[in-house]
Amino acid sequence: MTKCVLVIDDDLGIRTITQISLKAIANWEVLAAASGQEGIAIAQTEPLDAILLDVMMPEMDGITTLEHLQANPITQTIPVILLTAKAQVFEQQQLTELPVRGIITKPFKALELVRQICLLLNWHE
Amino acid sequence: MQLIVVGLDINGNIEYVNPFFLALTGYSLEEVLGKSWFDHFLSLSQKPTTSLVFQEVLEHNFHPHYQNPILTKLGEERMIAWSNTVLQDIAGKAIGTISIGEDITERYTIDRMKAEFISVVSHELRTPLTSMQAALSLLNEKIIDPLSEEGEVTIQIATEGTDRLVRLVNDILDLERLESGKVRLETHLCNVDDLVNTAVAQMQEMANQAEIMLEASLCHLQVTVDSDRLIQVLSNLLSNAVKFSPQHSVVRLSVEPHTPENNPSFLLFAVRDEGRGIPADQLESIFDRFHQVDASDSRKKGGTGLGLAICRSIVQQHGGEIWVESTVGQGSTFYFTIPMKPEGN
Repeated sequence: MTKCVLVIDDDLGIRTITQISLKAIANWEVLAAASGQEGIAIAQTEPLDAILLDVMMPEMDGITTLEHLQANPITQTIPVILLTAKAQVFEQQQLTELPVRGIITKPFKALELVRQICLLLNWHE
Repeated sequence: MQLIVVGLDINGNIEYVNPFFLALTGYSLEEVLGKSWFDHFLSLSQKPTTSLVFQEVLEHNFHPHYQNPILTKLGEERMIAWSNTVLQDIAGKAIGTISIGEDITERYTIDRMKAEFISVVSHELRTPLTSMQAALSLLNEKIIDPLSEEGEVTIQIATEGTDRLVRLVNDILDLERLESGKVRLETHLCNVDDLVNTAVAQMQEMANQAEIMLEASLCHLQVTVDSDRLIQVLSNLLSNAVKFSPQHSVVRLSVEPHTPENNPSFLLFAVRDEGRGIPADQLESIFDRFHQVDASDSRKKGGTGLGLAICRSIVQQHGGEIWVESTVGQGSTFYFTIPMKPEGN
């Protein structure tokens, strides 16, 4: 069955290229949200297999968005993978303690992105 | 380098401090002897961890080197790097500690600022790189046909990422050169109206596209400045004003002589917009590197988050000041002054 993934990122370029990549390489359905609030609303109504969540966003950052997703019984079981452009070791260490399935560091190549998602979620390509 | 020395008994009460410690913290000897180190010199958040460290020093001789902030009499925090030694009685039983400390507050602050700056720069560089790398890999691996509609979007994303990266690198280097003093202002006597007209002309196309009217009032004066740099400041402020203004609104640039009481004469430039305004708590920090009212502004508005920091540096090098006054929902006015007589003359 086709997977449905939601990408939450405030950067239009990253949202678009992630959508194109996942659709073209894995034929997944990809929804996009430009903010944490928008992402939470979509997560409550759409049947999602995974969420790709940007860490550094204005207004509601990725960590707060994750807290909202975890607090809601409808969304708390959706596996979340963090996307982060923060590359320093201490910054990534802070993220490893969060209830997420993994962290993908930006920048990423399109093929690698699909492989990493499959690996982190135990999906067979 | 002066070092501080603190001796504590087994209960953490102060038995000895050296004169430099007293000078640093602002206390007299009488005020500190016999007092609890943990109650008097540590903030509430530091107390539990540091008390535990002290116990481990006493019991196991752990933590020969440790650093923590201490509080001065005025409540200021100073970061101290300690070398700790356990004092023992003749039977080898711990009776207290003696610690030699170096005040590393300035170094610590600079290191922290550097780490924060690297973190933000890393984020700002990696964001356009992500779009570029993913887009180019799709094309390179022939996953997307460059001639298809998706291919066009992919190429456009890569191009926009490249443009943004170029702007960012240029601004980082420009700001670095300005702040390190490697750029000397090339000042000469200029007609102020020419500077204003040039800046307005540079921004006219952008304003037309955004359907915003640019208005400039002239002053018919002359001033000694680096004309390219001053036009850079004006263009940057006008560009920001246009970006954050609603359609059909007016952005006004004015310049007039300004002579505060008992102060030399300045030219006062003002760029006024009718945009969304800036919250009061951000009127200062907006001039810091990468500090925008909304962190996504740089991406949405095509800026780098360094423009106002560059403006501030240029204005300060001319001997002037820059600031903003704003009402949320009504608009902002960015002001800057330039001395009528250049500094040093």
